[in-house]
Amino acid sequence: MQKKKELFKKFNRTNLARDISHAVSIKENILRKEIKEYIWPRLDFLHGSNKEKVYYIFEESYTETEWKDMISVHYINTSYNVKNTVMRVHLFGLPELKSDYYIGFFTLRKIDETQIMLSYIFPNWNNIRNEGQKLCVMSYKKSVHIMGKELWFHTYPLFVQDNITVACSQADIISLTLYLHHKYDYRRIRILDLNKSFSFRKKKLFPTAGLSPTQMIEIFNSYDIPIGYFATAEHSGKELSLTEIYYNYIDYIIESGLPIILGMSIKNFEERQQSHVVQIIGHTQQNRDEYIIYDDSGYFLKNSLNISGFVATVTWEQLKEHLDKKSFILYPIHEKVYMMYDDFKKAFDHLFRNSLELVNLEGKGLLDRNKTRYLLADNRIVKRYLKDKVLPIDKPNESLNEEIYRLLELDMPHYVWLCEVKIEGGFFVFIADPTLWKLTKKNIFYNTIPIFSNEHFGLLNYI
Amino acid sequence: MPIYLDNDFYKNIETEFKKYANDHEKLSERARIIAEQDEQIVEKAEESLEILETFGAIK
Repeated sequence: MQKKKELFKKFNRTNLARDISHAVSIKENILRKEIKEYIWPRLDFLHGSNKEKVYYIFEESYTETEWKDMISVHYINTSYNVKNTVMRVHLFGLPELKSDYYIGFFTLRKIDETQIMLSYIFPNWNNIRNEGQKLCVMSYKKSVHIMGKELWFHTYPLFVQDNITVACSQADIISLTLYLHHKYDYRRIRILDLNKSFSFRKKKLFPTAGLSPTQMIEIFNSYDIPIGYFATAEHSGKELSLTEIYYNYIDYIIESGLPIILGMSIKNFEERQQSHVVQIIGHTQQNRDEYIIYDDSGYFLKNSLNISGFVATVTWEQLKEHLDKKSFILYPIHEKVYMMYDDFKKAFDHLFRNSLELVNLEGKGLLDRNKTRYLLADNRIVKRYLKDKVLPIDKPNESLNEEIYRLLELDMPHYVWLCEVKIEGGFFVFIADPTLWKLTKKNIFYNTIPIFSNEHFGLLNYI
Repeated sequence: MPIYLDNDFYKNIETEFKKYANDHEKLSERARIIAEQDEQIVEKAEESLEILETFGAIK
């Protein structure tokens, strides 16, 4: 028992600098300065206001695929003194080897020139708080092994650029596709192969100049990851304004548990304009339009919002101010979805307008279509929700129970469209088939009546 | 469960949904509406690509 306690140290710059110094032979005072400037601000979001109560376990050597790849493609040809493993630091809220206290881990690249040391951050999003509130971040279950003990946690990985082999565009691809790989079984993109995966306007590879959006799309395509994109010049007079389109797309993609790469042209403090990408990976528990943004260099957060961190909550009102003709989004789409978001919205709108009962509820103020959520979800998760959250509700109406059992027995495609409409006292849930062609004359809805639920359907939880 | 979602509501809406699901004309109308929108979507996608091609490298 005594031995286990010695594993943990208080998480502060002095202790961490001492441990790193042993591993890389850099003086502690230099490391303290570097940690303060380059590492600490990136980790702020992990411990929130409980900085004093965080403990860590230091692993001097850990094999990380991305770092090995970076060495292979570039560092092996340089005079830098590098090691092919990284250091790994596990953070805990209490000094006990339990998932309940596990905050996640980060890795540090072993190189004899600092400033580029942080490599990966794997937060346990279930244990991260923002101003005391839980965050709804898309995640997959990952395990770590410490001293023979296996801890499971919910993570979305955050990869950090070194600006030599990897800039923000590559870093976002690496982090996003690692999530897609573990969550949805898409192919994992390796840094080792990244530069072989595009040819359009290819230039000298190192030091990297970053990637253009079309090169990013080319890379996704070469790995069979279907990718959607949206960019537009402001055009008045059309059905929706530029910002409304962004708002709707961001909402549906995030609610579907799919990350977004958001590109923007940002003016820095020296008035220089630079293109940059960040990832939107979730939202706060209180507000669907208060997004969790990962900015791997902090460039957008610092220059546009004057926020010093690298992970921040950004409201829609803040974000929309920075969307213009030089903005775009890239986002993954599930392969077997053939009826896309805009078409599904139209299809639901048509069903709605053809139901006098629904129109009447709206007329009486009992139904609010402005708060409707549209999302793609795995049919198994939808069925689990129906069985565990909707079926147990005490329903005076027998046909509702029968409908739920019918839906549970129904053979559905892997991903289904789900539409959740806010009504007085709960929600109406509609489920639809996304595999039919958009111009189909078949009925795409599985429901024969709206399903009532008093609980939200959500994919951004930690089950 | 809200009291306004009574048996009558469910009976009526079930009838409406069944009618809709089997109404070829209504479903053709839906297809027409989506086809009209489709023109805009194709236009939007083309416009998006053109804009994306103007972007240089992103760092």
